[in-house]
Parts: sequence; C-alpha cells; structure tokens
Amino acid sequence: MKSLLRIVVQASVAILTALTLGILARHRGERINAMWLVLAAFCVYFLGYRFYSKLIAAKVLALDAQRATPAERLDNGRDFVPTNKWVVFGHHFAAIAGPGPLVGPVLAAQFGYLPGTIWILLGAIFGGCVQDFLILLFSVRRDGKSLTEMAREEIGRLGGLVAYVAIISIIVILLAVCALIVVNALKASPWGVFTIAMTVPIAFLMGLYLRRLRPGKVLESSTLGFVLVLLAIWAGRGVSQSAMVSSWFTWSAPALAMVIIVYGFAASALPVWLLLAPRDYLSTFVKLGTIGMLALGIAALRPTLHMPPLTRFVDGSGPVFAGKIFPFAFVTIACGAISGFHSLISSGTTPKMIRREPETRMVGYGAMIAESMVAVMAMIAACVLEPGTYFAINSPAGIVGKAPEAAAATIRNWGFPVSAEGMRALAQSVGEQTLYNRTGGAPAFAVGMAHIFSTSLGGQTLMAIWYHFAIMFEALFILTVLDAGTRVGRFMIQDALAHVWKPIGRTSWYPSILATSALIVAAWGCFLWQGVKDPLGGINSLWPLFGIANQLLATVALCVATTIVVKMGKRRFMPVTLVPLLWLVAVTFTASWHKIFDPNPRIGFLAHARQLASSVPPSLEVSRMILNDRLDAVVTGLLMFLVALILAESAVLWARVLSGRKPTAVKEAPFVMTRFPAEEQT
Amino acid sequence: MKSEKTTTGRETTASRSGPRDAQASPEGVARNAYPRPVAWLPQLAAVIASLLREVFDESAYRRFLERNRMSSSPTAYAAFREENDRLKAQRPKCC
Repeated sequence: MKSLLRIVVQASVAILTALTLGILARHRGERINAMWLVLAAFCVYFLGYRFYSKLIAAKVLALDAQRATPAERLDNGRDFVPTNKWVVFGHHFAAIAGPGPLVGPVLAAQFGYLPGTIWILLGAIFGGCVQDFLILLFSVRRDGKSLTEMAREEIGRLGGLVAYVAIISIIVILLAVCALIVVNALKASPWGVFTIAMTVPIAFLMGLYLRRLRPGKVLESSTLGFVLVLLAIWAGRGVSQSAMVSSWFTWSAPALAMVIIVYGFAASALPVWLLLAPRDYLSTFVKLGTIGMLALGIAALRPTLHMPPLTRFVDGSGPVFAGKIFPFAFVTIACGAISGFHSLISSGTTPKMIRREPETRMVGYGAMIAESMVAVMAMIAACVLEPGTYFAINSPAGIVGKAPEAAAATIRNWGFPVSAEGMRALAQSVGEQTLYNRTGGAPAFAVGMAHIFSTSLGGQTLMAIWYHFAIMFEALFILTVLDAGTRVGRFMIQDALAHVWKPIGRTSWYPSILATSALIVAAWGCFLWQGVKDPLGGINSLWPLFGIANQLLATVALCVATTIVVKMGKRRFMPVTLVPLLWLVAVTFTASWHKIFDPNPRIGFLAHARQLASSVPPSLEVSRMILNDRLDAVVTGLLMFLVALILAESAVLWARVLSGRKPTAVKEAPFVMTRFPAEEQT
Repeated sequence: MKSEKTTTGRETTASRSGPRDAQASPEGVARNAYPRPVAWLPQLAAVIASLLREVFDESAYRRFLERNRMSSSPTAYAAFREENDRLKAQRPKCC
C-alpha cells in the first residue's frame, strides 16, 4: 500500500513537472504567474534529489554508513566535530549562499525569464549539485582534504598548481566584482551610505556586548544588532531628506571605490575582530532572514512576471552585458546553477562536520538545491519589474545615454515602454535621486524585492524602507565576502611566497601581513578601479570574467571528481561528471574566446582596446583603459590555458587507467568502523 | 536500490538511504524512529535552535568551554575568539 502511494506521488510530480515546464516554455503573449516557475522548480528539484542523487549515492559512490568519517575519527572539538545532519546542512548553505545567485539571475534576465530559469534548474540538478555532493564525499573519504590537495594527489602536481592559480584568480575577480556591485548600489545614495556606515558602530556595540556583557551570546547580540540596523534604515530617510546631512553621505563612485579599497586593506591587515566578527554574524543573520522572507513574500504575493520568456537580446545586443545567449547566459547565472567556489566549501569546513557518509547526499546535493532556489527567487524579483524599468536601471549610460528622457526613449525604441516621469516617480518612491544606470544587478534586485515586500507587507508607504533594507542586506553581506576573501587571499599569497622566502609565510609577522595584504588589495583594487571608470558600467566586462573564472574552477573540481570516479573503477558512471564537465568546457572556453577575440568592441577585450586606440586622441585615461582591456584579455587567456593543461593531464590519466596501464588505486583514508550506535546508522 | 560494494570491498546498506535516512537527533532531543504527527514539532524547533547555535558559533564556544574546563566569562570568550577567529580567517566565503 505504502509503495503504491509512493508510486502515485512520484508519478504525479513527474506529470506536474512536465506540465509546469511545458507551460513556462510554450507560454507566449500573456503574462504568467511566478508560481508556475516556483512549482516547476520544486518538481525538478524533487525528481533530481529523489532519483538522480540516489542513483549517484548508491551506484557511483556506494555511501557507507558504517565507515567512520573524519569528524568521528579526528574529533577535536574545534574543526572536526560530528554534527547533526540538519545543522551541517544549514551551516553549509549559509557558507555557500553569497551574492552570486542573487546578482547572476538578475543580469541574465535581460534574455527573458526562460533561458536563465532552465539553466538554473538543469545546471543545478546535473552540474552544481553533483559537483558539490561528489567533492564533499571525496573530501570526507580523505580526512577533509582541500580541493587543491585532492587535485595534487589524484591528478598530479600540475593539477594542484592549476587549482591554486584558479582559486587565487577567482578570489581576485570575485572581490573586484563584489566591490563594484556595492559601489554601483551606493553611489549618489545618501540613505544607503548612511545605513551601511551605521553598521560600523552597531558592530562595535555588538562586539562590546559579546565581550563584556553577555560573553558568547551571539544570537542575542545579532538580534540586537538587527533591530539597530532597522532603526538605521528608518533614520536614513531623515538623512536623505536633509540637504546638509545628505551631502555628507552623497559619494561618487570613485570616492566609494577608494573607501572600499582602504576598508579591504584594513580588514586584512589590522586586528579588527571587534568590528569584523560581529558584522559577520549580523550579515549571516540578515542574509538567512531575508532569504526566508523573500520566499514567504513570493508565496504570499504570487506576483506576475512582466518580463517576456525571451527578449530580442538573445542575439547578443543586450544593454546589460553584450554577448549571445550561448555562452553568456550560462556564465552569467554562475552560482545559481554551478559554482566552482562551492567546491572550496565542500572540501573545507563541511567535510569535517559530517557524522556519517550517507549524510553527504543531503548536505552536498540538497544545499545546492536550496542555493538554486535562491537563484530562482532572484530571477522572479527581476522579472516582476516592467521590462522597461528593468532595462532603465541596468543599462549603463554608455548605451542608453545619461539624460533621463534620452534613456527612456532608447529603451522605448527597443520595444519596452518606460517614461522618464515614471522612472522619476519610482526613484522618489524608493527614496533615491535617480535609478538610471544602476548597473550591477543589486539595485534592480532591491527594487524587485521592495515591490514584492511592499505589496505583501506595508503597501507603497514602506517601498523606500524595503528598498533600502534590500540594499543594506546586499551591501552588508557583500562586504563580509570582501573582507573574508581579502584575508583568505592574503593567507594564500603568504603560503605561496613562503616557498621562496620562509619568513613571509609567518601569518603573525607584520611586515609580511602588510606586504601581502597590499598585494591582494592592489590586485582586486585594480580591477575595481577599472570597473568604476568604465563607461559601459564595468559589470559588462567584469561579471562575465567572474563567471568564466568561477566555472573554470568548477571545471577543475569536475576533473578531480571524474578522475576519482575513474580510479574507483566506476567507468560506467563516468558521464555523471564527464557530461557536466564537457558542457562547462564548451561554455567557458567559448565565452573566454569571445571575451578575448570577438570583433565586437562591447564583447572582445582586444577589439575594445583597438577601438579606443583608433577613435580617440590619446590621453592618460584612454591609455589606462587600453591597458585594462589587455590585462583582462591576458587574465582570461591565462585561466583558459591553465585549465586546458589540467584537462589534458586528466584526460591522459583517464586513458591510462581505462586501458589498464595504470592501477585503479584511490588515495582514500583507510577504512575504520564507526563507533556510533547501530540505531543511528542507516 | 540494491546494496553495493564499497571501494574498500565491503557490503553496504547505505544505498537504501533516502531523505528520511536517519532520525538522528541534535543534542537534547529524544530519538524517535517514527515520530508521531505532533512529536516532530519540538524536534524541528530543537533542530533549528541547534542550527542557529552552530552557525552563530554558540556551540563552538560551549565546546571550547568544555574542552578547557572553563566557565563563561569575558576572559574565556576572548580566548575562544582568538582561537576561533584564527580558524575562521582561513575560510573563504562563497560568492
């Protein structure tokens, strides 16, 4: 009876999946409710988790509940701690959820809601979830080793080196992009700058509360901090309305960029834990709360999508970023479908907390499903906007012009109705001077989120509060990514340079700290400055570069996973990792090729440099832009070359193992029987 | 799903694991293989509380106190932060 019920449920979900996807794909002309998209996503996730992940768990990985995990064997109460699977799931999700799944889908919405949504769902089920799951399990079976260590041991020394260079490159580009998103969201926004500035004294207060008044009561202090941040958002309206005070907080993009660069250096070099740790907690608190609220808001409001399923910009002429749907929709979505960065978390903290092997399925595969759901919500937030409004916010001045009337006329000419009056009223309703040319995705996401929240809670009177809440939420957790990333980058540089000169590796030696902090900040600061000065908005160049770097890292992770699957003697199941790997290679290499060599100056770095060199009289500014373009081309080419090397090395290894010329030994930790009671085992 | 041999050559029953694979409980929650309809509510609340305590390092602080046989105080918390921050500083945050 029970199995009959199960069959009925699973068959119903399968039929519902076909129905919802069919409606999404074939719907033309009329607007569609966002709940179709949510329903389709739930059905696809259910089928993916129930069947595909189970197949991988049983046939490819043969998860073993009786095998002791490193959390059990090496339990030290610090980083190796056996932890309840739901707690590890939440911990892992909190670590992998960053700005990527929010920003990527918002930018990719320029193609319409359909291509991005399909890639978010299929990319996650067959790519991202598989990568996270496999790397997590392989790390668990290797005492929690990192991706770089696994690449070195399973593929070869070159594999380790490529993984290292890919990681440091992606960190540098990620930090630059993150900083640029914050700059574009906060420029000329006294309300936003005031709110973010207020998080500094609030964090100090939380730090003091934690250290002096109630040691260790982080949840209490985070709740207190959250209430204070809400008060700061409310007070921000007064700041923006006062001519004198608002002038203190009205900053240009270059000024904000300089402040963020100095902040990044201070966060990396100075012992400012009193500020950074509480802010990190506050950011996590706001992040988890806001994602939950957004899900509830969408469910309560069931908004209508105003964006068409496909727009005219699939031809590559999009104003948000240039490039055709293939490959650019796929590199733009980034973390919502597959993210190489997740493999660092899956081979970092999480494997040291897993209590039993079968739990890796729920934590690795399941948490990526949750991340993908966040991306679907971001897509909805972008697509509930009228397309004209969406393009007015996201198009750079270099494409639509600076004057509101001219910008509105250009967008109307594309077939998306929008008026300068309407945009002025929208900016006023969210408490901003203007919403034009707010590239980067964050402001469009904030307007969409404010629209959803204000329709379900508080009405239009709270629109401005919700908008600034969304901006604060994005800026706050992007800044924590920035300071954590700068520190990690600094440690990586110290580690690498220690091979050349030992003292530089001492993490508490100040000359080394200052020098390596300056090095990593200069690296991402250079890209940030380039983005701020770019008339095309910066995101046009940097986001695809970030997407390419991130997915090249995923290529490295899938190379490691495929190599281990082959060495395990599971050649029949090679396609589980090989198919997403080949797809990623096709996407990233095509995108890289276009970014370097495409003759369209809006796409190709070299074509843009040539255009600058030929069309304007040379000036210092132009020479710097030309240099930046060439630098971007070199970085993209270098990443492509390194990943091609690891691919070649892996392919040779697979051929040798498959032809029997190399033994199929994997470098796992020896089997130890679990000591956990039998009733806790599967 | 049939059982499968592991890479170490042993038979495993793990392949039968599903989303409901374990009724493992967080600290302080009674274990119950087949929870009754109402019984799971406090269990859910306890899991969420444990999750928040883990994410916000409250559990790590408790473990630190147990490991060092200390009681909570500003000094103990300062020592914990020093140890914890050193570990945390080397973990990237995802994009």
